[in-house]
Amino acid sequence: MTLVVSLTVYFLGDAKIKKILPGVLIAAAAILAVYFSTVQFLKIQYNPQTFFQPVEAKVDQTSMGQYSFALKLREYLPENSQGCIFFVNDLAGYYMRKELYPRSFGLVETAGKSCNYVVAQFAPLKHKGFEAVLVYKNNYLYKIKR
Amino acid sequence: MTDFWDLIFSGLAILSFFLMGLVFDYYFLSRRKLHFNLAIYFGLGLGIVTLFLMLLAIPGIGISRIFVLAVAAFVAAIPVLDKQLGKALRLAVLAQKKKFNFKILLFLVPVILCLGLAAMVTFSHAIWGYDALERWMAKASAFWFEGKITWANLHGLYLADDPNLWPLTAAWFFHFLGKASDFWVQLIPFTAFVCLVGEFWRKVRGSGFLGFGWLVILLLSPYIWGTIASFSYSGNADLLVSFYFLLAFGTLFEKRFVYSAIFFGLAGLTKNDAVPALIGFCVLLPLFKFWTREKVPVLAFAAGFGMLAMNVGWKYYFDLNSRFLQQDLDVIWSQRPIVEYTRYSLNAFREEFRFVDRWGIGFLVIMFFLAAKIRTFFIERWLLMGLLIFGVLFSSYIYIYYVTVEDQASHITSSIFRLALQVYPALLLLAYELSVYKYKSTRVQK
Repeated sequence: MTLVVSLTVYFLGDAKIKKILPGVLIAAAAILAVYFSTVQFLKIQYNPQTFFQPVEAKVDQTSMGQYSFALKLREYLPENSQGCIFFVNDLAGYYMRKELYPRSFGLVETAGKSCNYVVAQFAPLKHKGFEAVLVYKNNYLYKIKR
Repeated sequence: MTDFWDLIFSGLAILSFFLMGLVFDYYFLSRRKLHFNLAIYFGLGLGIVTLFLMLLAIPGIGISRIFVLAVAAFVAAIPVLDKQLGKALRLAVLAQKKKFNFKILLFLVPVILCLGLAAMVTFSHAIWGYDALERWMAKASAFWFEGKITWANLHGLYLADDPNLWPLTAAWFFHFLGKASDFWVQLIPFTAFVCLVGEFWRKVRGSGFLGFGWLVILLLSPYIWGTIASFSYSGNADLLVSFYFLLAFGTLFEKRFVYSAIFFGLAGLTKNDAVPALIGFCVLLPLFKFWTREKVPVLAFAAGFGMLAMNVGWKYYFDLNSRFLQQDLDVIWSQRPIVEYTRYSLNAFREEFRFVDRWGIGFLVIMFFLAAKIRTFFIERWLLMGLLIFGVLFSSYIYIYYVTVEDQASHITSSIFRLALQVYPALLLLAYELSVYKYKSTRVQK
């Protein structure tokens, strides 16, 4: 509607309006850009202190602790190991799959015996055939008993 | 202390992109005439690294950290060893320095403060977004770990048909750093963002206060800075496409066709969404050359078709089909009503353009100038060619929404804002060119 009104005024207006209107529109758009950006920026509730934290702390915070869990897993698991990541949070799952490369870990919704190892993020995964071999801040690595 | 060295090596990695672009531009494109432009150098640098690593992948040659550092050191030595280039570079830097007067600084201080704030927010987190973790960073980590692209890591657990400019440049960055870091690698899109803003400023600064207004519209459109500042989007490739589109359309309007061809090509190597723009360029360039009787260098045609051949040839060589096009299109055409699907997509774009929380009223400004200055397209035909390329792009977006492998509404919901982001800066530039075209002709009449 605003576009139609602006164009109507532009095409029907005299030379003076034709000269002024584009400038007014650009100025209005710039002022509104400042306004909308400020609103959006306030919405993210940014805390400047996070910028001054050590990088590892920032990465661990963003990844909800999965960065440090992945470090532990990489220490424990040999590079040729294979297993499953129990799919509870898709982003955390994708992140862990990426972090464990070249270990071949696929995302599964039910972890069965075909998985050699099972990574469970944020919560334990109870099954009689699972043996917890690594526990780190409510994250678990299970080895499946054969 | 580790953070300090990581920062140093990250800075050196970014510098290596600039230097590669500078050297390539100086020796191969501008033939020993320095046209100092940091945005173009950065864009070319990313592209050179990508093409280099893609070519190495064909015979299966791998790279290591030592190799990457040696190549960067060699490139850095060129301006020192070539005295002519060194002198031209010094003069260009001095000329840039002279352009900065108090008035310009007064304009730029708030802009620099905004960029600083965006940097603070960006570097308060690591990458944590779907596309980034599922595809781009997953590929980058694999390419870095293996030291090369292989059939196995290209067809890993992620979508293989996505192009690789962003993962390959990230892998190059990781080699510099000596590790894969989802935190420091954000420096690549952030630098692209700064270059995008700087290049836009270079274009609009001639209009004085109004030019500053145009810059504010671009910089403070919430989704532009939000893409960089938000951990959900900071690892996406869309801003790189925006950057390449701005360079491609900007150089097209300046009639620097070789650069346009290269940048359209590099946009196509960043995301498949941009390939139709490259095809549109390759088809329209001969037609417009004939129509305008403008001198278009043969190299522009060669670069355009070469980039297209590289893109398609690479996909063919590594057996990378498109998940959208590799379907039974007969079934789709017979079962999906094309008019309704198209109308739905057009309405979705209309709604997206009205979304002030993402774009402010930027798209209103664009539409206003496209309609108000429609006559200009028939006077300045290269602007018309730009508009037609945008038309090709939007047609391709709508076609993909028609043949989508998922539900059309879901696909649109999850991607339309990213498509809008890709074209937004370049469309804003087109609107600016239209707005000043009148001023130019008025001045001539006076």
